[in-house]
Amino acid sequence: MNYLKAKDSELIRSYLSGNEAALEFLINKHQQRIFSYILIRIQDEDLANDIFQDTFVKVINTLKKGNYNEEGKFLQWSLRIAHNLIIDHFRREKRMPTMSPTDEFNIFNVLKDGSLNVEAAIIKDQIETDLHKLIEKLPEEQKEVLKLRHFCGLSFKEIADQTDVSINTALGRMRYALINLRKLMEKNGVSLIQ
Amino acid sequence: MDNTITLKDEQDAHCKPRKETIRFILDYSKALDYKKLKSGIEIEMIRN
Repeated sequence: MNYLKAKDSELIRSYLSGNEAALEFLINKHQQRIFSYILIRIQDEDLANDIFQDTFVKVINTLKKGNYNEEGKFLQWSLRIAHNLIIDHFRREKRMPTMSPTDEFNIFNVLKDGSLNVEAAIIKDQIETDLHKLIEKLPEEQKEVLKLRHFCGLSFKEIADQTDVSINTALGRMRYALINLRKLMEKNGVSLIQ
Repeated sequence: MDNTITLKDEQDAHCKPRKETIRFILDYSKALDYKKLKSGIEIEMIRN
């Protein structure tokens, strides 16, 4: 297939017949236009990347479900999806305004857990010890992802880079780690509720 | 949202998403399996 000469509709047909490279070409072809559209409205590169990603997740879902019927208007359709996601973002932001800590006020000072009495502190400590023991029982790969995520605070992208796997694999390992940890907790009678 | 953004603004932006963003999308596409059963039930599956 000559990708350079192929129309969007041909690339989509090729992608739906199993050619993943056609999707890659389609993204490369339109990425700058779609990403610029998002970034210039959002003014935040991290968020713009998230919205770009969500846009193509929706695009892929729709294409694979066979619900795409806008022959020849792929770019406009993708931009419309991006536009709706941008609006969703602004609506969410309006509903839940975010606050950054300042010198005068830091929410963590308010939420600091200084009220635990001695008994509660011992129980909390015991739960944490039990939990650490159970985590050690997980398969090596799952344990690694869980520790990097929860104890080192790495993003899934950073975990994927560090462990040399795809983000999806890292996400999958995390999912199984949590499922297995839950089973181990039930089996060993460990509860997170004090 | 700012309504004064023009097509020229977008063209001047000259920016692209990060490589890892593209990689995630392509991995997602490869992992996503979509099936329609004879009963009409639609199933989405993510391969690990």
